[in-house]
Amino acid sequence: MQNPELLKKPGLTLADRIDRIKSKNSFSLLFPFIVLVFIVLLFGVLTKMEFYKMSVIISIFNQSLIVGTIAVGVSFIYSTGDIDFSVGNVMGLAATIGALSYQFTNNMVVLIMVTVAVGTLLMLFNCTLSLIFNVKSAMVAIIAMILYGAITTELVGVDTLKVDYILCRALESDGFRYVSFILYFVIAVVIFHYTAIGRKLRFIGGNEECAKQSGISFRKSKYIGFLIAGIGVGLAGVFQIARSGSVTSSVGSGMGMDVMLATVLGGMSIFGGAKSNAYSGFLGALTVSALNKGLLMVGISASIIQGVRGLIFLLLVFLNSERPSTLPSRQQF
Amino acid sequence: MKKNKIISTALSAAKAISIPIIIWVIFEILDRAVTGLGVINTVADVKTLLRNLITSYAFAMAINANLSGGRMDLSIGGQMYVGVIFGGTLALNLGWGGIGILLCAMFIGGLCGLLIGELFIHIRILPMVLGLGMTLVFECICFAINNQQGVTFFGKAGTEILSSVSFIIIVALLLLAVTTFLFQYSSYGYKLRAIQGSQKLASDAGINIFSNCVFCYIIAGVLAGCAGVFETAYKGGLTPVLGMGSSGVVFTNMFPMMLGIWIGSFINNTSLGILVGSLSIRILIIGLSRLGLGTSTQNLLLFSMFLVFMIINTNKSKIAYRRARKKRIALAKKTRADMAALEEMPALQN
Repeated sequence: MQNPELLKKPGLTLADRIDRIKSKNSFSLLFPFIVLVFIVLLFGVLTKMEFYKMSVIISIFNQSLIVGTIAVGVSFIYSTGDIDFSVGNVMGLAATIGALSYQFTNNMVVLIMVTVAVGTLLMLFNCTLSLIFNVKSAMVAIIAMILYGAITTELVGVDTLKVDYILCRALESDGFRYVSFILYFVIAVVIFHYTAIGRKLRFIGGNEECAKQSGISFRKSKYIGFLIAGIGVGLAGVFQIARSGSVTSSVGSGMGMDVMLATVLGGMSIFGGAKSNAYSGFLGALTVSALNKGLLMVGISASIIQGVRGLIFLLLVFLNSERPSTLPSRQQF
Repeated sequence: MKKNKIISTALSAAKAISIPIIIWVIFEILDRAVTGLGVINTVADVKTLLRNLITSYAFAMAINANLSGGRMDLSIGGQMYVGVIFGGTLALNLGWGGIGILLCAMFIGGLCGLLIGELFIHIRILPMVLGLGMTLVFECICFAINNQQGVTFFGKAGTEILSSVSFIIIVALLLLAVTTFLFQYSSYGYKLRAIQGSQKLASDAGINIFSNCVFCYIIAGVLAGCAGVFETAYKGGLTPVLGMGSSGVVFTNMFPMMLGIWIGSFINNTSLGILVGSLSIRILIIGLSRLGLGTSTQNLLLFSMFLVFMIINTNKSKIAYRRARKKRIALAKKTRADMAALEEMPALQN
């Protein structure tokens, strides 16, 4: 008589099926989009369609614009395995110097150019400290964060640097922000995904030694990555000035963490590699913004929103990452 | 042989202790030249130094507990807030006094560390990412406790002991003794160093990397709770923050920790090194403040020095190589010159 156990066909358990789905490349690409769509649908139902009003959609987009712009640029840094959470303070200092230049010249073009230039130069300085002086990027980020914050405080003091209201209205309402963001976003995505520089950056993030041995110019690639990130940070500085019409000593403080949060939530590993992408930061920023807005509209208090955001963040990251057999660690300091 | 070992140990210890002394001498001269006051002028200054020292030391040790294993835990600040607010409130309501507050905060901090450790070993997402998420959660919890009021130690009975110099010294020495034993002489310490070398090899050799990791997080949480109590006692109270404001405490204590690790390399004792490093930075900060500089200017100078220290520390092997190369080139030139002179002599004689 045959053993009934042997007659059973071998099958996959639920855990095996989930692991198979998670291991597919398309899963890590699609999962953040699915999450965003789910959040939008959920809050649409919970708020009885109030969530789909044009004013709400525009508000979500506007709130995610600054963090999203920085996150798009920072993806060029994260893709190589480096970390830089001083981007908020870089943006703050760039906005401060831009506002000061406007006060001297009364010229909008000068404001935009100076802000973008300062943002780029500061990011290139961070890159130099990391590449030429061999200080680990995370340590450079910590030191730069506090240094730039201190310089901003010294320049601004207890006052607020005000920028002409008419200028800010012009920057906000004449489509400058949207056009420049879309232009930067498209260029960044094209460079990251369709050019050799993007492939090199991801190669460096995947295996640095292998990339060097393959003849990739390590320093040149990283400098280009930081340059592109710097342009994004500078642009975000212009958006910040346009949004608030003034610069205070705490501008950009803590934004580096928000950028990291948005980038990871958008599906990108902060340790970079082949699975990196340029749009995850903006996607994550939209997700965070939609989540905040939806929770507020549903009536949850601001302090609880943060806790809910933290839990959802951890859950989504857990669902979107592979579980290694040993503990993840990396010497970043 | 034994005599040489004693001499070299004494030299290393002298090297280590000279750093805070040199900083003190430099700023004593500078401060007296600029303002007429020294670094330490009154008993209150000594008290302030010690109160800030214990906070800085405990935090730096808490960061180091995980950092040496390649784990940057950004939630230590959040653990401190939960430990102090929850533990402090509980101890005050039960009338347990200063020591009770300290023990409660350390216990709650340890529980927070245990939670994060367990989460980390089970979900295995990157420690920095986990730290970010848990910071958001801990800050939210702190807001929920005690109706967003945080905790106040000022004027509360039994909290005077937290400002007492002798108590602070006792706690600092206890922390030093316990952490030295744990990290240097216990089996946990040996296993930790094995895991730092190679996780895979340590695991294959039979070391339980998961329990070791959880223990690291518990120690970090306990130390964060301890640091938080003394900081709160110094400031009078602690109010909860949002927006990852608690992670700032991690960044401001990186310099004492990195300097301490460097000092600890002379004396083969990281815990003592971090204590000396924290002392050095506290003297530096007091010295800068005596010059009448604002907080932002002090931060600018302090972190510029941190940057220079990191550049030198990271490139010390390159610097040593360049020095040795210079010496070799100088020796080669001298030898060549001597040989040329020797060759000329017979020619001259002829």
